[in-house]
Amino acid sequence: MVNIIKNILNYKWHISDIITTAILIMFISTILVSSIDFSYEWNWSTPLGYMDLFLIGLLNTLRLFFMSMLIGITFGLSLAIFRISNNHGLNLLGTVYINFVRNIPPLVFLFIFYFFISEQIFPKLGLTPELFENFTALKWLFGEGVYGANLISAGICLGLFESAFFAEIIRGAIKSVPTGQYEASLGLGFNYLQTIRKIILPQALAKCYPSLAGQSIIALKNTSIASLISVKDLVFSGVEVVTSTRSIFEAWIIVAIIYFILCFTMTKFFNYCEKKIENKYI
Amino acid sequence: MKKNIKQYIYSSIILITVFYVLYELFSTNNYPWQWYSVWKYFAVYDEGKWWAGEFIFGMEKTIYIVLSSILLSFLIGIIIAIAGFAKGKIANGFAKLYVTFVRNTPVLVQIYLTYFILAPILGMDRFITGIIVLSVYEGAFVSEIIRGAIESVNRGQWEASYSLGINRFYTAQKVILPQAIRLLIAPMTNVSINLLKHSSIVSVIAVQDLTTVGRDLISETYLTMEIWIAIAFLYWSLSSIFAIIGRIIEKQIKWNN
Repeated sequence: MVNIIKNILNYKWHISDIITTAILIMFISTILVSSIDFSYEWNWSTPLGYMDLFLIGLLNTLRLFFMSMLIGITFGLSLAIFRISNNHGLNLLGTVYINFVRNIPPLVFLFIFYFFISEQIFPKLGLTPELFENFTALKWLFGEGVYGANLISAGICLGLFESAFFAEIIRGAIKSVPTGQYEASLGLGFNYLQTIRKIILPQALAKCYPSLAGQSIIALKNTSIASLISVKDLVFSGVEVVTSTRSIFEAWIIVAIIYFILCFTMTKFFNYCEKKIENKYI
Repeated sequence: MKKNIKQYIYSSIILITVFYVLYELFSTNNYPWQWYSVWKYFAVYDEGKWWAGEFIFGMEKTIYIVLSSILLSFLIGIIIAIAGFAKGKIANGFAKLYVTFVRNTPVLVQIYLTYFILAPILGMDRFITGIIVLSVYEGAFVSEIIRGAIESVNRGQWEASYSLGINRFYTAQKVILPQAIRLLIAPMTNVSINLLKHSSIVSVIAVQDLTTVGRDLISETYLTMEIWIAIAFLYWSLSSIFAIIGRIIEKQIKWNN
């Protein structure tokens, strides 16, 4: 403890430190000076009283995240296998899908497919709000009533969107496995699917783990967009709290902090796993 | 030869099935497709002249936002990367804090934070808020890219130029940067495409970009699917143009070296 204080006191200021501190002080003082005219009454107790709303939002965000990850990884894996297969039709299909999805904004993709899925496909499959009322399991998994159907279609949309990115990552990793591995396993009498499943994929997935982890954090951040199609996620509960209590600053700061904690712990967890995997496989 | 024919049969069967499923999904529902009423939002021919439609105005705004935030984010990225590489610990700490905070919160939340908290205090309008949020968000990624590019230049290059008596600044300027810039072009195209995609989120604060134009038109005309598909096509062509420009620049730089 004493050492730390001594180090701080004896710290020699480098020129970059001085510039950074000067810029920060200027920025903060500008904000403080301009906020003199802008009177805002801080009131942390009201939005903190709505903590249950934030927690429901957090739960829905996590639901969306897990749904989109599940669909994204499975669909992305099959798309990657489509793209490396020798079949022209499958190859074309995968290429067109990935090229289309990777080049449009997630918001526009969500608006197109959310409308399409919830208005055209769900009625055909017989997924109605009443169904969610009647089945407790569905209620637990996807939330209540009308919002449950919204959540499912938003999760499917996000999963379809992420799948293109996962597919590209997995395809790159599969391509990076040396061709000798294919030849050896085909020579040992494995068929094509067995080769992919038992020889190639384990090596490829261990290699592309860091980029998969990065993409899954991006997927978590992308779930915030679902609030724009009135899925009750964290951002949506932020909007609700703002409209009902008018404590704009506090609500948004709380939402940002919750997202930050979620993503940050996830980053740390993925880094920890990465080290374990590196020790084990590479 | 025999294998080829078999493969073509397989692939045509797959494609036909997919198209059939899509056709079934799109045709048997009761959605009334009205593509003929979408064209007027691209361009209108009137009084012997072509007039730009709403989509074109939205696209103009989107391009403006994207180009200015590419420049700004590159600037922020360079500054943060320099702060990260500098010898001072406070500068390093600030750069690290900035990158962790920006990378671990969604753009949507950042836009809300800035628009509702900083913008009224500093008196920024929504257009500038959008540009600033996008460039702050993407600046963190740019700084990481620049850091990666500089780190990937061989350490021996630094040592060699030190031993030749060149100081730190000139080493960076004359030796390291020319090598690092080649590695920057591909990720920077990626960043600009990402910026284009994130620029659609700016529509939540009612900046009149392509997405907002689409939302307004849909609330006027109820042509949901047609307008969203048209907008997706426009975004797709814009980002394809970005990708092509990036590839051309990359080729040019490879030729010069």
